Amino acid sequence: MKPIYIFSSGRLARHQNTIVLETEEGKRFLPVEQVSELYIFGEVDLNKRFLEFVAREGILLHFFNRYGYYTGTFYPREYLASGALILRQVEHYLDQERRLVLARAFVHGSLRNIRTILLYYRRRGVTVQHALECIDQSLADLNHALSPAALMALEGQAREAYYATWPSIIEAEFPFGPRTRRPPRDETNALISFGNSLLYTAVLAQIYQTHLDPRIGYLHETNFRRHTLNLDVAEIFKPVLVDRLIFRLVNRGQLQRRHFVTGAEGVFLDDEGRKLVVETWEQTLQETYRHPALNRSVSYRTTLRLELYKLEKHLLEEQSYIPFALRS
Amino acid sequence: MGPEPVPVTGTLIWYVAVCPRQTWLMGHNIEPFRDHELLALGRLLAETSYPRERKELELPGMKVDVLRRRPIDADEDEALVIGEVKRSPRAQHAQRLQLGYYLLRLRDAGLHVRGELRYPEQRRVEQVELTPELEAAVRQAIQRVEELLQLPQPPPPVRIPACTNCAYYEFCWVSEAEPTTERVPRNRGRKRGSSS
Repeated sequence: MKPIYIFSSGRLARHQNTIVLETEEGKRFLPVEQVSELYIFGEVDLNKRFLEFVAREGILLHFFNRYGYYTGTFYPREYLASGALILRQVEHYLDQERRLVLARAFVHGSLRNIRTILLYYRRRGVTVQHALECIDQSLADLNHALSPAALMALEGQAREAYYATWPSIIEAEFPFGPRTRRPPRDETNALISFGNSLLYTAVLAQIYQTHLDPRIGYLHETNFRRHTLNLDVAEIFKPVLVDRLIFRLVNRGQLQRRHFVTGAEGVFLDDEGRKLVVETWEQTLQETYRHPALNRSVSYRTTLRLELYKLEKHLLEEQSYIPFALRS
Repeated sequence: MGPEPVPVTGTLIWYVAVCPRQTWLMGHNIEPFRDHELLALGRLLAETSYPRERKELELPGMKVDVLRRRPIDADEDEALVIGEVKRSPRAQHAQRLQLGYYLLRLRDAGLHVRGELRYPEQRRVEQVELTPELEAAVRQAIQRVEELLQLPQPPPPVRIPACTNCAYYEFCWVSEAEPTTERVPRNRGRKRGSSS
């Protein structure tokens, strides 16, 4: 079971009991038992019959527009649902105290992982003192933040100081101004945005494998029209998976300025650059390490699911949630 | 969550003889990870074994494989043979309870049936008869399931041999160390130039 990334244009259809991608190069069959998600970057046509089929098979479709912006996910009705767990999930959202506990944990996890990365670069001679102080200040202030918005603000401040160290971490001549989102105004911003959307969808796909409702988040404002829980959990893993991916790709010279296109809509990756990022991203998620508690080898993709299990156990009130910590 | 009638199922009867925690989770519809290899194998096995004689019979809380082949020595009133397909006779006492539960339910419905545990991979068949002993054990198991599901929380995980191949393994045993400031560097295996 793994995601398939589609860059070519053509038609996606159901062919008997499997998925077929028809492009100019011909037909490519995708065995339905082995596909967990489809990432659709190309210009693809599909019909209702196809949607009904992937819904039945529990396959998610992630759509991206031609600039690589995340458009949305076709999230078939949960085939796993537990009334008991959804009730707990809502309880923890409605109760201000309990909601803060979780929102704080997400920010705490995020800041600790950023800190670990900064310490790593400090050992390599990068000047990170100011950023470290900011992070530690934010970490100290977490307990005094009394709303998710205040927590978000603390995380924002910390990230700003952290981003200020990026030009020294990134060895290539890579423009990085202030963080700009819609649209990204420079190459680094374009990478952050694209990487984050890959992470959001990866977490969402793991939520689909659990009994959690992706619409109920704790740090990001819940409104039942969007997925927010995946954004919450993604905060912890952004430094671990996305930021390190960016440093690696750029510092190894794999990703260069020629992989970007600048237009009126902002700066974005061209096809080649996008493929490169996606390929490396998928390798990252499949990378394994020995999990100390499980005493088994687990991949980073599984790690995302484990995070959700810990969350479920927190909601069932059998084990307090402690976010994933990157080992230095 | 008020005291509602507890939905006992054959699967829960099977589980309760193996692991109470699994029974609680399953009873609250918290199913195990679906892509777990052995689960998929079990599903596949049930779907593909005995294609000629198998039919499914569904009653609330039970889905039984009906094997229509009437044994040669069948009693006059024996209507049919029900079977339960398993990968191996591991924890057979639990499997017998599950099948015994079906036999009991069907007997209450006025059907005289015979039970068989089927192991297609080993080409083995085990007869299961609803003896007074088995019946008593089944009734006890039903009561245990009902009591368990009333608990507000799942019973804590306990290490048993079955954990190794269980689809709940990761759910049960995952935990994170308490935050500390500095940690020992970990020994990285065959990873090349990761950036931290």
